[in-house]
Amino acid sequence: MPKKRPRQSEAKRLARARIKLLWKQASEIAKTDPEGARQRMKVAFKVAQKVRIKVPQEIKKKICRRCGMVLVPGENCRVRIRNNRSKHLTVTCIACGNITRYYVR
Amino acid sequence: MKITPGNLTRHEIIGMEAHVVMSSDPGHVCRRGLIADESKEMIHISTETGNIMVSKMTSVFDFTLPNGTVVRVDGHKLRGTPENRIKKRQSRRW
Repeated sequence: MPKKRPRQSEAKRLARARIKLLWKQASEIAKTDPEGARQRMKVAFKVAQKVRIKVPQEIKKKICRRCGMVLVPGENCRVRIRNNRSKHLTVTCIACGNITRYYVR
Repeated sequence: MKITPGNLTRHEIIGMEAHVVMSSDPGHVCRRGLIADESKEMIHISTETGNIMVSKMTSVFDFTLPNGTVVRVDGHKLRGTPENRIKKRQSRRW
């Protein structure tokens, strides 16, 4: 008897495609409609949670962890290189004031 | 994974062009626009004359896929939140 393909793997592939699609739309409209972009990424995170996959790191770094805004440098976020204790990058969301630090190794 | 008529009900419909073919609200029939948002029971469509919220359960939609194909879908099949539709299996009668 032929083995039935597990549904979970198909759902995961579908979810990856959906996240990619939503990110493409969100990054396009981030400047003109920030609230719409935020809503799209909210859906993307929900989809990832449902099928238990991770949202790619390069997407996660462009979203504010506190308010969910899609960050566009020079538009709604401030990016600075700082050198206190060790060299790091600070990304400040201007909408909510959240600071994310990325340390350089 | 590309959007096909087979997986449309489990795929992402935000950003797609929709046309309301039938609806229990006569004011929503023949409205066309891009889908801006989706909830469990409603689809938010941004049309030229403003944003409208159409009930999924009582409407029939024509979706235009990225490759230009037009698919007619009963809104009843799209019921549920966007993340819950992923695992839904449709019972087919053909």
